[in-house]
Amino acid sequence: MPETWLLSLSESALASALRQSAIGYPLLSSAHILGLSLLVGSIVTLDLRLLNIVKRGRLSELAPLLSRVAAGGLLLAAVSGLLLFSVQPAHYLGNNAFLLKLVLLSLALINVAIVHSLPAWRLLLAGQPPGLLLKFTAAVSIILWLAIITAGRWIAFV
Amino acid sequence: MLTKYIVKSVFSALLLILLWLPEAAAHHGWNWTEDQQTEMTGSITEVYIGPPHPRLMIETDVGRWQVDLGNPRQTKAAGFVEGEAKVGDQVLIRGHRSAKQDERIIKAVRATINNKQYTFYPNLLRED
Repeated sequence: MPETWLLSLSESALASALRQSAIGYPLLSSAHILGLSLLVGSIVTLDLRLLNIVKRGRLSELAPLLSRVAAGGLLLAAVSGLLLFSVQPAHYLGNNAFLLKLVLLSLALINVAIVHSLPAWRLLLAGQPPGLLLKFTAAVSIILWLAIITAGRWIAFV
Repeated sequence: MLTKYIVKSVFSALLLILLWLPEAAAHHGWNWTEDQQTEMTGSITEVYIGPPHPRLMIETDVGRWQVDLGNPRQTKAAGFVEGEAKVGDQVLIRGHRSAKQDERIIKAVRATINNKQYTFYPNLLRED
């Protein structure tokens, strides 16, 4: 059922306009890249700070700022990504790199949900240093987001 | 200091991998195709005109092949727009096959459908 819904996206007026426009798709690709730059740029910075590889700045200030910039980037990447997908859903649903990217993205979002529900996250915002658990989720985060970028780029090469 | 250098090296290595690996696999340009130009006929099973890359799927005597057309701008310039071809139409493709024998992809220089020619790369067309 979700697959039928996804496939019917290609018949939308917006998807049709995107297929015919000379500038729509390149502009959306740019928005997608901007979104993931904001997302990965800020989240990797935060993760490196949590892991103490980067040592500058107070985490109680950096954590809320960088996670919010990341959330904004994620929103932009998700909206532009859905539109790019709508141009030919069947093609992407048959692309293994795309499917792998969706699985990795789900894992990354689960990681985000876990981090934000941890008491350690609230303590971090209150000024406590990060414990082993937050360092572990930070390492998972770096690995997943870099893997997502790589899988995403691979969509065009399978 | 040492961790800083390790992190820098790892990121540089990742960037290099990202830059080099797609180079070998990309379907942009002609590096991945055979040098010789060949012709192939088939029946169209799918037409896709749009970004990022227009293509046809065709059924031939030697199986199912993917036909990469020009990029959206080149494809439009060749006169190949929505409605020019439909599933079931016979097509004659002139182009370059993938250099990999097991990869059934041909990059079209010209397609002929219903006696109409669509030339995506006029400067690359070789007449026999």
